[in-house]
Amino acid sequence: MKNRLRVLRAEREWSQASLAEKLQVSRQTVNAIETGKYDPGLPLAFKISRLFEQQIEEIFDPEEG
Amino acid sequence: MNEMNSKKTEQQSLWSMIKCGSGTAQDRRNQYRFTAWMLAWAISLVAATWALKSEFDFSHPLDWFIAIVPTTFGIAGLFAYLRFLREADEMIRRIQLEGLAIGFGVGVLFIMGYLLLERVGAPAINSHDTVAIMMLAWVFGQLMAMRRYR
Repeated sequence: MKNRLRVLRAEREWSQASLAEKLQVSRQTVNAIETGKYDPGLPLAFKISRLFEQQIEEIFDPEEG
Repeated sequence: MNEMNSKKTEQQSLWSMIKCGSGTAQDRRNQYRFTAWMLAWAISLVAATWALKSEFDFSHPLDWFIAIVPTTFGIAGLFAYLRFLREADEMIRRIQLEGLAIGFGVGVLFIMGYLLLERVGAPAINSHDTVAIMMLAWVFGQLMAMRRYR
């Protein structure tokens, strides 16, 4: 699954560490999601969605990747 | 200041993950708690094995006490590990799951495979060797999963 997490984070000039802190996950998790190595579970996907104030499907694209 | 670093610099090295622990601060605290109990288990297991083999004349109830103490630490370690898993960051849980799958899988395959080898003349091994192999495979599995998701 592809996602726009890196782009959204870059727009806000946040580091992976600061995003991880906001989401209450490890930096490793943020990195793995951004690189497409790991797809987050629903609770984390909703947290990301709320943080960036976008719909889940605007951030994650199940059709690609 | 732009906080975003390049992909390469943000990728955590495997060594730093092993050295500093991975996951959130809470995960690290839980990992340390689990490690402390498992160290207590390992040390008490060695000490109890040595004490029960030695020439010391322990009274019967003391023998039982010495034999039970390591398992008590082990049970505490097991509960600490369960707590760590329940509270862990979801990626860390995935890493642990892969580590456990490899540890368990290698252990079962090794035991069943070696039983056949013993029938054709391979030297017999004891249960301690099997446990050690399972634990090493568990650690190896975790390292592989850490490397994959770093």
